[in-house]
Amino acid sequence: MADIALLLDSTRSFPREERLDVMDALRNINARLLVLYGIRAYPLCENNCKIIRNLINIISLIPDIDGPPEPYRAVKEAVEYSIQYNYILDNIILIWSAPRKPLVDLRIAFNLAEALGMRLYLVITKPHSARWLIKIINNLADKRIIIPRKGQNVRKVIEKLVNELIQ
Amino acid sequence: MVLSSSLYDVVYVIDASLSMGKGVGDFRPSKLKAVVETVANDASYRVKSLQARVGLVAFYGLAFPILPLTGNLELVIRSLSLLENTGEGSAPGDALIEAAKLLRGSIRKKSIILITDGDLNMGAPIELAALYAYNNNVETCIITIGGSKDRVKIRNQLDFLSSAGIIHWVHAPSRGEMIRTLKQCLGA
Repeated sequence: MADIALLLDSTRSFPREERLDVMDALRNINARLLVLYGIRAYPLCENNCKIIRNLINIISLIPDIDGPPEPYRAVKEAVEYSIQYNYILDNIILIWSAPRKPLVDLRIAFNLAEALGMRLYLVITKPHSARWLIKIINNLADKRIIIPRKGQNVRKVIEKLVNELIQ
Repeated sequence: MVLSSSLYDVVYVIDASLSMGKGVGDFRPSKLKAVVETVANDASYRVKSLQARVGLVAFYGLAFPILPLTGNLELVIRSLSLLENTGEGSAPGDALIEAAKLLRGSIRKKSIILITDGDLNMGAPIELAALYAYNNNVETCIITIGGSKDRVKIRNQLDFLSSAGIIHWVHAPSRGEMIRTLKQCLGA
């Protein structure tokens, strides 16, 4: 089992096709936790996410979650999982469309994960030049942030990151 | 979906939204009161005769666990008696997820019985919540109550999930039917 948790922005600001594409990439690994989030966050599977291989067609029918996405809520789900199972996840991949400034400062999410010894990677799917986003990224300059290049497929980015993490 | 009488944990999820405060058919004086009485009887049997552990979750527009898994029947009855119509909105998806979380770490057979008058207008999509429970090896039985099945607003989703084997869904137009369904859900 790959010691990875995937936290996936499931609002309409992260297009459904791309989202399912990212989830489909999970077919090849066995993630420990998959969380879908919007303004609230919900686990979809835990401990053995290989099971989603058989369910991807059903998952595709899950409607969008109400936005705007609040990444902190998703990280909190991963932390609660770790505490309840008394198991520290090595790596958390947080995928965020960043449509607007979140209510809770992202540094708090990073601190929360790191306090438990978890490495949090942030993948921003829709980078643009909004001042608030640049400010956030600058504030997180020493953190693990991945911004796909223009036209680069998010799934490919996730697959590359996952491969590096599980090697 | 019939569980054997081997040790199991069951979480009852009860709709406490404002619409449950109204009476319909033989769900008197209100749907909520009728559900609470019926669940109390059912839980008593499970705990006394089958050594089941029972948990409780209530919901309206928000979901909140009100009792973690316990074999203490007095605590179950007391918690049930405190349930009142809480507020507007209906988020059975959130409630289902809270219930599945209460069952985290259990090594017994795990089951959830969700009782609602059948609306969903807030929170997690019911499909997501049902899949989460299914992925955690939790057997989920959803009982919609009162009126005709056609009036259940989330019937399309429940029909789909039921036909996919993710949940077991029964509509109980009367209190007697709800009691029968409870037994059917847990193989009494």
